[in-house]
Amino acid sequence: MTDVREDREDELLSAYLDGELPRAEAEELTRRLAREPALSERLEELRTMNRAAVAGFRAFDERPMPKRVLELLGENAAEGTAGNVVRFRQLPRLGEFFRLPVALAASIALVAGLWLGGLPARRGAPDDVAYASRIAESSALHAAFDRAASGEVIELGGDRHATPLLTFLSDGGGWCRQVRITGGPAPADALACRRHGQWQMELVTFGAATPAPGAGAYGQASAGGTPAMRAALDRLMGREPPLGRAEEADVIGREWQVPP
Amino acid sequence: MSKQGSRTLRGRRSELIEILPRLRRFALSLTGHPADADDLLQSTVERLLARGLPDEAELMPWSIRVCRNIRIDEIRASKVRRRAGEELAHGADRVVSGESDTLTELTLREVQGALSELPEDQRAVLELVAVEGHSYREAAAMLETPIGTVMSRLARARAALAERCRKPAALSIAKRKTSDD
Repeated sequence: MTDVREDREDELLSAYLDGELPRAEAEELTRRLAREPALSERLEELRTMNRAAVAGFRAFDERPMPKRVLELLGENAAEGTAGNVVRFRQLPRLGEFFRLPVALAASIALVAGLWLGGLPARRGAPDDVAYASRIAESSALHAAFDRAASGEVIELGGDRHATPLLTFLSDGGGWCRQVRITGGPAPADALACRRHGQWQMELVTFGAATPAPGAGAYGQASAGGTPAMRAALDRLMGREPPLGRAEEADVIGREWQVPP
Repeated sequence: MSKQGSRTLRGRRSELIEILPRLRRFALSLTGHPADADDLLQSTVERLLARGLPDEAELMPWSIRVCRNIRIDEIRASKVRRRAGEELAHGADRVVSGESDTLTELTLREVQGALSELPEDQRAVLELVAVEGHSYREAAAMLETPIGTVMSRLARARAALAERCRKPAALSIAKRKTSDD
């Protein structure tokens, strides 16, 4: 009986993630999520797995399109990346860059209602990779987000480096940063925001359109990157402009306290 | 198919090229194996080119149906090759865990391994909805299955992934690798 109930709840949560629940049911579920921690933890677990699955499928794009298929479709296709006919993204090997931490139920701190309230379900956008993951505090990437000034270069190991480009207060009232990662097969831009005292990855895009700034260069002007990243920045950025160097140092010094 | 249908598709080859990556990911969702997916993609493109596209059909849904029908035919004919040792994973190195007791470090390879273990019908609906962004109604039409079935398959797929990725095996392998280092 319990299994049946859990299956039904998984169906509800899954449909909720996809924005497929009728309005009344979605509202009722939102209320339940606010008062039932176990349910919101389950939602977050399913969301995390969903995004991991999306990343898993999209990584398939890294493999070259079979030549025999391209040849079937004629000379334009044989060029593969020509113009905007078709873009075969050269994704870096994701596993080399990031970990996808899956929070066990007891460790999930997010309250689903805060995440979902009024937000439409996110569909699989064509050019980005979304991670619903907390950045492990012991990782070098975390150090880049948490302690490095914009323009400062942090070694990630394996000849990879992370450089914060941009720091801003999101529309929702939390601090967000864009960090560029270089040294892998392709540059990557990572956008993360602080929630409940932790850095949560929002988006990772690959093949950044602009080069990473050199060490010590304040990188605000070069932020932006791919269209997906620009769209995410537009969505998240509040009315306040990105922080200047002194303001940023002050916020880092105050351990990312949000202004009243 | 009629010659008219065939002519229609020839005029839409650039569209077919555009949908190739999506069609290929769907093929992967059916086969669970990259090389089989590429074979299935090739068969699908060949059939689309040979038989054309009905005038009233939309290219992507029609291509999905063709791809799925070919897969069904292959299974019936037991012609699907199994490539031992090759799953969805392809080159992402395992990332060693050990940072936290409360977190399982899940690598892309592990995600892909878990995906490859899903039943084909669950993987297909997960790809169409979660990856490609189709609505339940669209996915149901493409898979020729009721919306309720799409809903339950999706939930089961996500729950199964969560269950598989929660298993301690992945972590223990990672820790073993740490100790080997």
